[in-house]
Amino acid sequence: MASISQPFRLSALPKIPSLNNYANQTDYLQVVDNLSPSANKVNIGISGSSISQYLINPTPKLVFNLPIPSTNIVTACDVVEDAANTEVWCYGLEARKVSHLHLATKPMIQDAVSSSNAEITSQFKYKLKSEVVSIKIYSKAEKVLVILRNGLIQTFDYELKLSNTIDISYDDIRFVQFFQDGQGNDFFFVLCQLSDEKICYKLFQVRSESVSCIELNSIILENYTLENAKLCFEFGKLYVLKNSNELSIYQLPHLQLQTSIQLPFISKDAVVSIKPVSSNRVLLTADNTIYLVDLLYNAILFQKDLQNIKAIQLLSTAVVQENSEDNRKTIALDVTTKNGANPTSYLDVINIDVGTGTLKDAMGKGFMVKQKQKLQKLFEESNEDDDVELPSPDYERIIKQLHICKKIENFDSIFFKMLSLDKEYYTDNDRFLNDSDLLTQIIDCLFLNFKDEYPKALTYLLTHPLFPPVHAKGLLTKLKNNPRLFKQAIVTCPNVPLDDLLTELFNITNAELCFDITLRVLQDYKKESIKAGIRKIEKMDITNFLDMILNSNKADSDLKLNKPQIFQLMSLIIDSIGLFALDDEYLEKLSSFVDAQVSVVSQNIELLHLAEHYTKHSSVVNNKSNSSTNSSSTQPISAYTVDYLEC
Amino acid sequence: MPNSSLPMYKLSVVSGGKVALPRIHNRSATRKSVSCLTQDGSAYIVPFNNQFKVYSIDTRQCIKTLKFANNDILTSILDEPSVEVVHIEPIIDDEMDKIRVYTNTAKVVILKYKGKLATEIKTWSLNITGELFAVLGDGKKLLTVQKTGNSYRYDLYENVEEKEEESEVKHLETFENVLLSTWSNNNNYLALVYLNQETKKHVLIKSMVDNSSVQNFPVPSTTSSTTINSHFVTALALDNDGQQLAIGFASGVINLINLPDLSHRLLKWHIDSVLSLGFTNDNAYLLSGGWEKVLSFWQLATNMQHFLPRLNGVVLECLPVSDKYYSLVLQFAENNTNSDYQITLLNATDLSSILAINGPFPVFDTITNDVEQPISTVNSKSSVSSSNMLQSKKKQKRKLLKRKKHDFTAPLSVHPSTKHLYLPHVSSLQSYDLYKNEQVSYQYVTSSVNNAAGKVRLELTIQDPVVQDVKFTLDGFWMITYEVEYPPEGLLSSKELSHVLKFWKLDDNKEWELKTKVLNPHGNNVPVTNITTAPNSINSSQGCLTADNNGGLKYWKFDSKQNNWCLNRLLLPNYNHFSNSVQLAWSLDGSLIFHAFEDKLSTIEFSEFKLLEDENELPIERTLDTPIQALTLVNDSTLIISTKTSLHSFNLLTQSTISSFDIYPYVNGVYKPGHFARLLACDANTGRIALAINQQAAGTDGNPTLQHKANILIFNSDLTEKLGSFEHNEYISSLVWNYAADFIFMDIQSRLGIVSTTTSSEMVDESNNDQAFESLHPDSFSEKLQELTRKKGLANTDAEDGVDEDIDLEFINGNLSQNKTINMNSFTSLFENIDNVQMNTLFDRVMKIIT
Repeated sequence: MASISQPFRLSALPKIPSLNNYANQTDYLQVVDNLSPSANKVNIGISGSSISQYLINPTPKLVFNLPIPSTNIVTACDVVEDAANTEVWCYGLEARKVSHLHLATKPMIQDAVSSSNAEITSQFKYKLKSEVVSIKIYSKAEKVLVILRNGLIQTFDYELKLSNTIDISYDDIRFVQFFQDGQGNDFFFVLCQLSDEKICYKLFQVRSESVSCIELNSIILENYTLENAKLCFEFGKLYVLKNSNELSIYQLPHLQLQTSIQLPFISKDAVVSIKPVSSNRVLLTADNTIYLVDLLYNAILFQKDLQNIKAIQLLSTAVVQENSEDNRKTIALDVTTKNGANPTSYLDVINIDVGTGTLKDAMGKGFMVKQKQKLQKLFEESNEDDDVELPSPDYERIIKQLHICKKIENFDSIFFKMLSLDKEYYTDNDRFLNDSDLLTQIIDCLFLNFKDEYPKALTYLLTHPLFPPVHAKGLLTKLKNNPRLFKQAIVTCPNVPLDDLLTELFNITNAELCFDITLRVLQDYKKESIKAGIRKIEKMDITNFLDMILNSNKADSDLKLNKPQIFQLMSLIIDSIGLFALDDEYLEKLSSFVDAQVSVVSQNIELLHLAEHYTKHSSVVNNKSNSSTNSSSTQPISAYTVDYLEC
Repeated sequence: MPNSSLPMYKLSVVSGGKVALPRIHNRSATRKSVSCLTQDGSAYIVPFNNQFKVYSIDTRQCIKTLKFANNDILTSILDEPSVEVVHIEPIIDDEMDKIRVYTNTAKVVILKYKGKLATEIKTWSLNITGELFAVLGDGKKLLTVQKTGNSYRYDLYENVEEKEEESEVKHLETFENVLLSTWSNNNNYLALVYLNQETKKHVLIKSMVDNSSVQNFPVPSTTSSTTINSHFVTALALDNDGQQLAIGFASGVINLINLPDLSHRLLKWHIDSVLSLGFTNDNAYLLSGGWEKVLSFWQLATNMQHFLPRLNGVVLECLPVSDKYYSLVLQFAENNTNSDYQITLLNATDLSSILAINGPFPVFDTITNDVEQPISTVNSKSSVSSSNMLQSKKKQKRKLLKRKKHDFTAPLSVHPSTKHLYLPHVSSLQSYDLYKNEQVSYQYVTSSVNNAAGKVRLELTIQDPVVQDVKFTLDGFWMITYEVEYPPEGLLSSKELSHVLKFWKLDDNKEWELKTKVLNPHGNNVPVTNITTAPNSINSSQGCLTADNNGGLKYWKFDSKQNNWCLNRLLLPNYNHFSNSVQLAWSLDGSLIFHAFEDKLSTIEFSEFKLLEDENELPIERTLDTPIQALTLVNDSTLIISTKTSLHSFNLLTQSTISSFDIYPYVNGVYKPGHFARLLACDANTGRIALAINQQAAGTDGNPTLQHKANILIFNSDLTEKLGSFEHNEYISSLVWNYAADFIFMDIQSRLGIVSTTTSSEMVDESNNDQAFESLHPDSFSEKLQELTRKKGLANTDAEDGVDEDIDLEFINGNLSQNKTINMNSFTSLFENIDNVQMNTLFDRVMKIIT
């Protein structure tokens, strides 16, 4: 099952106000977007502080730190492990509207122990025309692709020499996403905010040898703005979360709107973030709650509230590809901000089980609640006789009246009259009464108002096939002092839990009820679940039940007459507790009882043989005499010959 | 809201139907069929119960159908259950493209069978009382019939003057107590067997040309035997000159009478009753047929006999059509719930089959009203003996009237890729193409006596294996059939049926080849109550689930290593009681199976193959008010559940009932367990639900009749909106989805109809709740991406190739664009997502490209 574990701390953030303001702290924290579910290394650019590398296991630890001036904001960064055991770090810094691109190489850090002796081996710097929005290092081609806010796509080599520039002709690039298709080809797309509420989407392919970009697709969306929008991308789908709870899903590569939904569980002005974790599943945060949401089924697979925290926001998640029963664990990196006037923030790691993305996980967890409708007629305009008008009472009023009704007679009269029920038991004419919520409310009233004596309405309700399971639980104990209703419940009330039935079965002394329960158990439950149910009962004493069967000598008792069922249940009981859990006394009794039964059986068999012998003998004779008188049609036909034909 | 979307679907009865045999219900008629060879001999016209079909003899194909429903005049005259076409003749004029059609209601219709079925239909009524029976003597004589007790009264009229749209008739003669009648192939002689005053059987031969009674003599006795069969005349034939009369008896003997001297000889070969006789046009041969499924040719001059064996069915009629062809009417008598007829046209020279004309052959759950069983020496499920011929029909009708509820449903499956309809037909399987309106194949899928030869006499009581269900895997490569084999009667083991599950593969010749056969898949004497095939996510859809009547469930899959179907997972039968109300639904992602057993709905996890449990390890089960009749999972989120009282949609995600409908008046006690599911179909692409509701029509006096009417309702995926409601004038016996955008239904008259969207499937709304499925194909993104890349690659190579072109363009562009070249591919991206783009944006786009 899908789950989210309690976050654990990676590090506390420096006490810089901008880093601790949850409204925009995520802009100041740039996480390298290459997290994988099994990753142990996390690289984060922390504005005004440093570009840091952390190890997650065995214990979270800062292993490398590249300090930056406190006035500088990290706008993008990327780290790639090179073949020659080195790491290439590339990051964009902005200070007072001036942007620089930095590139540094350093030896790779394997584990926590070897971290001490790492040192920067080379470092380059390049002045850019505009702020960096995104950086991607292509280690095979030893190239860096840099996308600037002003719409330039620039390619550098490892010494930060500019090798190529493309101008996409739009100014305000807001979102860049790099991805690969299944075959290892590289792509990226950009979203630019245009003036007059339009956005432009452009899809590029990156040629791996030259890191040159080819524009594949360009689309302009009308009446759309990326203000206040959180975006994330997961293989082919762009999720846009606007105004905290309006989620739209776009299908790439043509950016078609697939669906848009209002998330009812997020309030309008919550601090939100969204990141994908697997196909159709995203991690959503709203203030201090994390949700794992399946957007195909519109279901909240898991939900976790974090205490003592003002807000949690996701920085990066690792996406589970090829999700299966065995492959469903991943991690997410987030920033949490504590409550208080002078809040501190922390970097956290969360372990996530994304589930399997199937209906199984989503069942019963949907968040799109639809209005319920009462039983309708199939044909509106029908005037057939057999299509009787179904009554449609005012349920709310009835419930209100029943609620204040303390007298048994009144309760009954309200119940039967206002619901227009003719009989004291359920009939097919009452099928309009099919809302189990309503029944639950009525029974709530009933049990609230009456304790020992119950109105006839309860008898009716016990015969209703949709008696709510909530009330069926513990019903038998409640009705113990009321033998008629007790029997009624056993015989007709659906959804009585097996535990309750079995508990009563082993305590009851009345042979008739014992037999009723036996039938009921066998009718409603599978053999396996009966066995399992018996095993679960604590402090069970079956001697009572055995006594009743073994000592019943009355020839016409129900027990005698319905031996097969009783025996079936008895064998299930003995199977599940084990034969030798019984006392010697009972074993002896049981064995003599079985002996007696066996002797009856053998006697019967002998009688059957005798009878068969005689009837067979006579039947042969009969057959012969019959066949001669029978018409020719029953005679076997010999081979087809012309002689046979009657003529 | 519902009204606005009503025109989205429309209903039309387009195809199928039965070969119409107007005189089949009249036991006195030996000539049952009506068909017409056109004057030029190129086309053969056969009436169906919903259309005329015109077959080309050269190409052996149906070249034209004249559907009653497409023309108002034809609809008004012919589209009534009681109206039959009794005579068709070509009109000899210059155009040679018209036929004249007589109905039993004494209407005459002239219509064109070539070209467009325009308004050129002429029609008028004949002024006669009684039911028109035959048109004889070159259209001059009309014979009407009226049932009187156990025999018939025939009236002969003369069509005195016939001008178009006006006619005058004159009553000539009345024949009372007629038992059997026939006429010569050239319609010039009429022969009747009737009871005279001393209740002795007499034969009357009458010429239709010169109005003189030719001969009247008692039926000659053929035997000393006193059994009823040896005196019971079942077939009659008269030759073209009125010289020879052949009389067939229920015992199998044919008596050939030479009329001038009344000498006779006996022809003995048939083992069971002679069902059909016919002289060839040159009077040299007598054709005879019966239960053996063999056509026998008696060369009258030499007493030589030839045979044409292994016909498809019992031979009800064998007559020459012109000199070149013989037409046979065959009945697939093994289906006792319906009368299945085929008209076969044989080439007279080499006896090769030219045409086999029939409609779909459904096997209904109960015997329908208009079943006509051929006469045999024994009484069996598929035959009626001469002694209780008269009662059985009445008894059947009484039984049907007495029973208030009728389950006439029939199994029907659609092949996912070819869209052919598959109908289990007792021990065979018929596939029918709805769109071509023709049978595709008729394949024997079980080992039964019927496959090789006809059954005669006591063999008729042997019960053949019956195919109960047929299913296809979603990829269309595999067919799964379930059949029940019956042991011989009268044994201790007679009730121990064997159940067989068979897996068939489509071979290269597009025929089904048996791959795996599983005997008693759920154990001895345990029936398979439901078969559900796997969704695409499971073993690439090559799998299926079978359920038994005790809660057991088995998962079978095709194992490519073993190259065989194997049992892969199973859930043991576990209930303490038995039920046939078992329904299955499988989620599209394959993770969950919903198993309805009686009134319990449990959820099974597929990967573990055990019941899904909640946090307290209690199985997630729901109990409903009555046994579950049908179960469908829509869009992987809504379960459509039909019990005996209600049809409701249950949202699995929120675990709540969304909408419910009262179906109790229409369903309770009508259908056998699980059969209502045949009338509920789901369009898996859009999630729409179609439902057929049958109602018995009350007569004018308020008493129930055997007439039915039906409604088809279309709902959206969670039943909150009714998208369409249609009426149909007959009982609908199955409703299926055709794996596209339409629903197909079949009625009790074997007619096929379609409920289709008027909008194309691509235009089906892109609203929110129907989106589930596209996203289940994660490959679509990479496919589209590759397509884009490829397009771009092509564009680039184009650009490189077209250097000269570029130069031209540069000239046009006036060297304005330094780096950009514009060619025809430059603007392709402009037109993607062109919908709803405002003018200034479009302008922007253009400017971006050219600057």
